[in-house]
Amino acid sequence: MIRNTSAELSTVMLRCWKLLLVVGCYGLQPVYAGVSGLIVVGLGGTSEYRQMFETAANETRNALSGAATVAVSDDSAPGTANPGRMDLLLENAADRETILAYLDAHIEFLEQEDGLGRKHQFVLALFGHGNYDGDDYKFNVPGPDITARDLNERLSHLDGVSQLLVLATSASGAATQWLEHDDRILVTATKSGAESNVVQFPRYWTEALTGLVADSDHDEQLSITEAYDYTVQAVADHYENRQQLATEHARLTGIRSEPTVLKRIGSLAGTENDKRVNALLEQRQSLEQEFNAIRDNRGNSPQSIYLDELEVVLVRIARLQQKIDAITASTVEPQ
Amino acid sequence: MRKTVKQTAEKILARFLPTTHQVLVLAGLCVCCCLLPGKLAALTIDYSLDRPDVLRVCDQLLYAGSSNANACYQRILIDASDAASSEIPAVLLQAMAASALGDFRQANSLFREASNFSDHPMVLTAWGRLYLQTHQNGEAAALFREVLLSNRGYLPARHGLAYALASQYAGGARDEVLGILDDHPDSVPANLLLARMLLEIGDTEEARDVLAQTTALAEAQDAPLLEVYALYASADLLDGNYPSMWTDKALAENASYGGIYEIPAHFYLITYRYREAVDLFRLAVEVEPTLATAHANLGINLLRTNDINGARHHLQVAYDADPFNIETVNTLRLLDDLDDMRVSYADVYPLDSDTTEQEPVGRMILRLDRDSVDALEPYVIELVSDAIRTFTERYRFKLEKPVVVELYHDHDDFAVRTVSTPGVGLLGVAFGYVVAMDSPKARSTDDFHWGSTLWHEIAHVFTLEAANHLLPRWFSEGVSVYEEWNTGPLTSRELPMQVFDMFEQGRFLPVDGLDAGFVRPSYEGQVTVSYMQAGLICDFIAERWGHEALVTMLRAFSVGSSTADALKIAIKIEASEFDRLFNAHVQERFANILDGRTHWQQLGQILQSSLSRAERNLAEGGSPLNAENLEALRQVAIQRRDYFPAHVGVGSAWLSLATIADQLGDRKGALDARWQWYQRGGALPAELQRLAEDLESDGREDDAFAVLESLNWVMPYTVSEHERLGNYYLAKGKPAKAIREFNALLGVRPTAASVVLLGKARAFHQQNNITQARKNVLLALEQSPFYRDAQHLLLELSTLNSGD
Repeated sequence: MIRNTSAELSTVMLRCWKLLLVVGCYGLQPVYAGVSGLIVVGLGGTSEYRQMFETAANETRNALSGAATVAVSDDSAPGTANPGRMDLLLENAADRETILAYLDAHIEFLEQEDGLGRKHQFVLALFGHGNYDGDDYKFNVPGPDITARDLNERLSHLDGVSQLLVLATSASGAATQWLEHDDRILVTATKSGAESNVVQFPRYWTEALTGLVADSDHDEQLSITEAYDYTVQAVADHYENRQQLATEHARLTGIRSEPTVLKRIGSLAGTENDKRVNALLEQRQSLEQEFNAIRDNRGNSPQSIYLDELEVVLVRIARLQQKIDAITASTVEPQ
Repeated sequence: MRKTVKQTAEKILARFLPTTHQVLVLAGLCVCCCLLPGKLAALTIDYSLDRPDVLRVCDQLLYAGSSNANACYQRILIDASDAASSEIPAVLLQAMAASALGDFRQANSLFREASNFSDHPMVLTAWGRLYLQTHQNGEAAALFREVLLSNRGYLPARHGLAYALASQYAGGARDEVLGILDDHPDSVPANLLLARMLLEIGDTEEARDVLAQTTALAEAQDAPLLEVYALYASADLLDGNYPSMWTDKALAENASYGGIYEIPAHFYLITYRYREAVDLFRLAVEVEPTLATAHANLGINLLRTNDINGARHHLQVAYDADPFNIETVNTLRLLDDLDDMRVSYADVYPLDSDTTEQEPVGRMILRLDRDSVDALEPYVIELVSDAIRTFTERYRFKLEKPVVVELYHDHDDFAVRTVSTPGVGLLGVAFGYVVAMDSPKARSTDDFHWGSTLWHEIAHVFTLEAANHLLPRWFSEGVSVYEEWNTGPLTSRELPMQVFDMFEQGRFLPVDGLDAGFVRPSYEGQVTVSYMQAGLICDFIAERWGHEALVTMLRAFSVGSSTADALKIAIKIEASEFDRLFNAHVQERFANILDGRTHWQQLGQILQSSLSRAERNLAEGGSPLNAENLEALRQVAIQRRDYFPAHVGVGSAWLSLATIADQLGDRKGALDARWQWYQRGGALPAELQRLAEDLESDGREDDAFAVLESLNWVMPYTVSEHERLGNYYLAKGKPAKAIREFNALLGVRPTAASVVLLGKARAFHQQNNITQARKNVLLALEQSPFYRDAQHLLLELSTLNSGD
């Protein structure tokens, strides 16, 4: 049994991605944003690191490909930015000038399109080695490194556009002072510039994006927070299992109250355009609000009464889920 | 006569005294506890023959317990000009007076000043003694050495150095003592040290001879006899004749001499008799309330009997009187940490009993570090319960108090807990009903099996308490090792190669002298060798005469029998005959490895270098070893394995065989080798995980999960194993074990609450406990309202019919 192929979905998404920007609810509704941006793999140094960084970059792009409106750039035309889509720049192609040129192209496009609406999200993810020279964070690329100041200078043009920055490199914590911003979710693999050893963050970030393991609330919608939390725990386990002192401590700043969804997973994977599913998810969200109200009130009534109240709404959610499952199961094609 | 005593002593000391730093760390604590000036008491005896008369006058008052002593020293402190000379300036006399008064800061300042006025060796020597009094033994030794560089034979400095070396557990203390006695057979402090060492190896007869000589020497030198009396009292204690007449004699000379109790208490400590030691320390502080070392020892040992409040009180008193004692400071800090640990309780019932009707066979109090405590606690409870049930039956002894079990994540905390306990403290220690040990987080899992260590310590609880702490050290250790091998969670019987080396060199000790291998080891590694020898002895007795013989010996020890007598009672043979039989047994049982251990080691080197090289080569993208080479290596591994199949630690031939089979693509061969390794007690976590995976792939699910279960006794902090085991036990209809695993999972991964709660809900469902099942599934969904598996169970359990 397989679900709709990603190729088919991509085609659909490419065709309709602007239209789909309006899909979605407000309030606590997860944000199925339009996504565009740039993923960069810096210098790897060794084949092991190169592979780790590239895998993480690819999986990040694949994950974002699952979002409602993302368009993946065409790798067949390297060297040309694809504004409004997700670009991927790999190691030798990713020198400072190219990265900045790509950023300029994306930013200019977004400026022209007036940010593509308030829910569009611009993504910049860096995988590789970084360092901190006591003054600025540097992402190691062929030729002159690109710095946090460089990035901040470019990204400052995106005021009002939601941004997600993932700096999955050593010493990336040093970039926080330059890149922290109200419109920006910033994930760094380290807490400071002093954490300068090669980071394991990309390895576990990849894990978070590629399976169901990070979906801690089991809603089959992987949020940035979930991916981040999973990665942080997995990195900590990595060092503890080896009885090593952890040399990296990731940080996340700028997270918003509403969950920012990276991708739908599990049985919801590929259902971004399914109106019936989306309608039921709206109902589910309404029930979730009821559930949250009860849960937030838990200390105000005896546990038995609290559990009785919880049971009522949870049974309703469960039955609604059965309806969603019935639809998603029917969309699965027999092998 | 004098010479005869010393020659005998030399012979004994050469046999038993440590020669290395490491050995002294283990065993040397006892050397210095009583005789070091700073350790001893507020009453510090200075035997130096060149001590200025003006101070000697005050000293005599001090030694007699006169309240005028302080005033005497005070007068010198105010003005010493009358007694000063060109060599002994007034400031030196004042410094020594301040030191005697316990005003260490002023004394230090005055000594510094004195060193500007005089280069008499007394200045630095007395200054060094001040350092000893303030427990800065390294600095003290440096000062004594400095004195001896320019005043080679200066006896007070040599005494000081001997004390300092002993107190640092550094090698050389023995040589210093014997060297002093060679040059100065009339040295009172050197003779006292010698007597002390003899007492520590249990040779009370020789020690009494030395003390008789020392008495005459002290009297001739007009030195106080208080320490001589205290050591006589210690000899009486060791001979079972305590209370001693020497106590009254000492108190008649100085009614406030706490050392008369504190020094003998040390000998209770090194024979595990902590409660009796506590009683003596109490008497010590009763007669000498300012005796900081006794307060500190009392506090430390009250802690060993789980009297935490009492411990805190006396440690605080000790600290107020002597803030320089690092043991006091560390133990007070440990008490703060203890406050942060989680305390829990559990009763132990016989298996398959109805807990509402039967009395528990034992109780436990657990004190565990809070970090990941829920991951560890279920296993500690299970293992301690099993151990209590097992040993209650095997030794027919019912515990009279709860067993207190403490596991420390921080090895330093554990080290502080074991301070002053010679010969133990590597992994765990039992102080009777109180057990303390490293937690699995404190050490590398490659060489630490916490389950086996805990089993070992609980065995101690039984042997110590069943024998009222009267058993020899070797027997308690031997039974614990024997129980590790025969009933514990780890079946490994691997012996370090040094054990075979020492056996072949004839350095196994006779059974009735085996305690010396623990208390006063004479070569590096002897403590470990002695552990193993003791375990082999108990194993041999049980194998040849039955386990009951060990129980009989334990009973014999409990009424004060010696090792020789206990052997006669239990197995009807003399100790010397036993040694002969035991040695023959070891020779026969380990013939292969005894004969071939050199070749075994060579084969190990070949395997290690070849396999490491191959691994490096593969990692660098090179080609693997060819099949021909691997087959040749396999033969090497087989040859090595057959020498010593019990070797399952790092570098085990079984694992070499597994690795070779892996590289040959021989899955079955690799699985078989790892399985055999596991069967013999292999416990390296990574290999256990690999074996479990391979067994599961091979369809041997039950074996796979048995291996995963065993992993808990090495490394209980893994996440995936707990979840897998929990689900496995659910599938096997073992809900209690499933709940244990899910609770452990919650301990190691609090964020997995929904998975844990669902697992527990399912387990309760299996137990037909619908109320708990419903509650847990609702709580699971409270964490993750869209958790599909929990939703399914909720719909199954819920009586609500409404739907949307």
